[in-house]
Amino acid sequence: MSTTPAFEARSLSYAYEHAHAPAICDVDLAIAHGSFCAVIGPNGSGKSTLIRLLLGAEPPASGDALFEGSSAHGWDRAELARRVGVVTQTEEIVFPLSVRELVAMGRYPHLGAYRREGAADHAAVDAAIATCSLSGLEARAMNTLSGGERQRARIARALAQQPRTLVLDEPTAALDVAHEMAIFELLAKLVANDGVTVLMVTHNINLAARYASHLVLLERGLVAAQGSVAAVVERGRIETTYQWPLLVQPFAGPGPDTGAPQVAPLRKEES
Amino acid sequence: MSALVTRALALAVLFAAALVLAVGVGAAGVPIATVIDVLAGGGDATARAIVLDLRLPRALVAILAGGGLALSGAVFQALLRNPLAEPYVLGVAGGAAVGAVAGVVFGVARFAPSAVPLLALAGALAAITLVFTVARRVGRALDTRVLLLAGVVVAAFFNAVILLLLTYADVESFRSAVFWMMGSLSGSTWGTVVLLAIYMIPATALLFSQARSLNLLAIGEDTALYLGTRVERVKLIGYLVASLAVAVAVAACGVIGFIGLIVPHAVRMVWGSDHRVLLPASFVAGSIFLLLADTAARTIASPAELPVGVITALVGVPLFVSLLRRSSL
Amino acid sequence: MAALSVVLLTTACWSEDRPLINSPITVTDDAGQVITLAAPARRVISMIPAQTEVVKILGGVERLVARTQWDKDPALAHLPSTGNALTPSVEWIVGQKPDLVIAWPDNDGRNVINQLRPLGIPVYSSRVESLAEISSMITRLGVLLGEPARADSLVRAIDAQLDSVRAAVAGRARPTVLYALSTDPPMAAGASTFVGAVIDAAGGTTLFADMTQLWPQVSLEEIVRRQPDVIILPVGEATSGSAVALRKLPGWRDLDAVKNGRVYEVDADLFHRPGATVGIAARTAASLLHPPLQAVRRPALQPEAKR
Repeated sequence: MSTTPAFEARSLSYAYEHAHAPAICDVDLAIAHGSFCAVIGPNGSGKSTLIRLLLGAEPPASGDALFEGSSAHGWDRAELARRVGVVTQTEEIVFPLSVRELVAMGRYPHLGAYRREGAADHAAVDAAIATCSLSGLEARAMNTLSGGERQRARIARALAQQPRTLVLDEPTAALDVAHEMAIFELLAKLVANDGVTVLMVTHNINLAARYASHLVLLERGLVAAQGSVAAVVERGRIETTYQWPLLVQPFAGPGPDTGAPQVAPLRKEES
Repeated sequence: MSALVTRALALAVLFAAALVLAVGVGAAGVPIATVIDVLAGGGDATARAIVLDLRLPRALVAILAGGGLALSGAVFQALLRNPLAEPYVLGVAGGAAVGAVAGVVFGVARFAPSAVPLLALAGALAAITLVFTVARRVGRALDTRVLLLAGVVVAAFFNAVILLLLTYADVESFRSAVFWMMGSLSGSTWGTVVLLAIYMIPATALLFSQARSLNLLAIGEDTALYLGTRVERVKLIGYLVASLAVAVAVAACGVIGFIGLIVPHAVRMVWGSDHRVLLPASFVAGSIFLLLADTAARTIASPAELPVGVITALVGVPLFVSLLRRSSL
Repeated sequence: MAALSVVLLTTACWSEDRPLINSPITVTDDAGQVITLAAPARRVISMIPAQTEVVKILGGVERLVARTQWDKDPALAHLPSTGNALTPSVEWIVGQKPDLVIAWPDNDGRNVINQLRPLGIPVYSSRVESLAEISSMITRLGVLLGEPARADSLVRAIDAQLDSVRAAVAGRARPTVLYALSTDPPMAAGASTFVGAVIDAAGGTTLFADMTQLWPQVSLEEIVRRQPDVIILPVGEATSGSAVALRKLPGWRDLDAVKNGRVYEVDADLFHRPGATVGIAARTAASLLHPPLQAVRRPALQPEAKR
């Protein structure tokens, strides 16, 4: 459709109060609709701050953070929520809440304060629950779920929003291999089959390199590299950014991602 | 949905029963036939005075104050994401108590008895202003943790002021002040009903309209923002409107504890955490609870009365504990 | 001019339906409110023990409808208790159809007085602290009960008792007296309290006469510095401390009054109820402050309660 990117940053900067250095410094990037973009970088490199700025949670100190061509901070929040589903890093559920209740909250942006859920809303919730393999767990209380199930429920809530764009901040941080893979597979399927745009923050460079079409590498608030996987996951670049000796080897396969660059950090005494 | 309707009906029946009990029963032992007669416009002057000037306004105050306290408790628990939050957590009661105790100790109350609720209200408003000013000055946005801390600190400060005032109080003022702080509905008049209704009815409607936003805020502020909520606006409305509801309730009947803490939890255990149900159900359950507690306070030691706060705690806590044992919270 | 007034007055009286003798009873209470009764009060609810006692003496037990938990008089035991006098059931009081309620003018404005008045129930709010106020209270209750003569004789009897006590202690050295409402924290009777007046009549000086508060909380250090000649401890409900305990308490045990055995316990009910028994209180105090005086029995001057 349009050539307007989903997200765009122009000379974007942001500093927290009382901070010595800016958290985000002069960032330029564009994330096209339909792409699978992963933001990587060391702890404290500004990944989460970048996401918050692109989602309009904070106004930029200078420059622009745009969503679909207009200032992200200026978007009507409900309108934005109908277009972008977000899975934040953590959520603490204090009061008893069932899986279905949580997923159904994804319909709120479409309902406003008073309108009751209709057939279309129930269908969207059912579909999201099925997509995230949560059927059978619907009535379970959130605080009785495993970490993987809980994360899938939160992704289901974002899907129930029926957004064109999904933003996820370290969605697989505390998950085992199988659960982590399931989530990456799910996201890849959404991008390939439904044309959903995915923007995710992750520490898993290797999976990012195998699934994403576009990578952004942040280092101390600056974009150290961005573009195709091959351009970003390059030994010298990654070693400098992470300050650790490592090897980069092509993924041996099998699969469609055979040949994707894979990072293997080295033990100190061997280098 | 049909389970919801059944439960709503059960609550309505309970509410009606509590109201009938509150108006029909009392220390004076007016026969129920006479009560009905009075409500229909008959009855002798004494029966009319007892039912229409004493019991009815008192029951309405119980409904509005009990409902308002429970509703505020539910809103505070959601906004602060803390099951321990209760209506007095932001120092509102402390401010109200300073206003009332000052009025009592400095003798204002002796010459203008109706000034005490107004002084309590003024004290509560001062507390709210102070807490919000502190919380907003520290951070740009309304930081929940700072707000909670500011509330606790301001409450501690007001507590010290109350103790200072009581040190200089004569014996009678001391007694009056302590009794005021215990909370009682015995002073309820039609004037109290009007004062409460003017604020509580629109405030209740406004808080009900925030139910979906509160569902989201109970999970987290970022989650709420990304699901389309104007977080700062909802927080401001929630804290201010609920705090003012507490201020008005405390001005009308002193500090009545436990309703705002226990009732929302009890409703949550039975009906879940959806604020579209939780808020109205908490209001009605709070009304029922205070109606029954006050009826007990009026009749158990008749012709003396017990402080209603004693009943709310003595009955509320075991009730709550038994619910807690049966639920998964 | 004078003649004209007399004529006008006479006309005014004649224009009344009722004869002059049944004209309404009017009294101003201690809160400045005017109380008007069509006839002497027959159903009285008193929520102040001293005033209850006065009503009993002037009008008889049968005029009382209720008592408080503080009224220990066996003659009143059969009456329902409105509790601690601060939180009675207003609707019960209304249901009793009293023609006079006597209450303390409490300070929170939420008390019975403000609820009963709008309902047309006469409330006499009574605040008594000085000796003069006792007489005034008795006189006015006499009017409200239609027993002015009995009130008058009670007032005169009390005055006579006090005069005899004053005469007995006249010319003697006036000991300083610490009347300790509580010992921890120390709380003393001020000079302007009823207790202060009783001590004064009994030939003593209150230790903290210089303080304006009624019951100032004072420091133990200051008590030690001032060295009272006599310590009086009220014993009863809601009071603390005992003469024996003081001998062991640091600070207190160093007081001359404690070492010399000049610590006395008195009945709190007698000393905290400004009313008909003030003369007995004064005699009791005098016998403690001036030991050679005879211990007191119930004085003959006290009128017997009406049966």
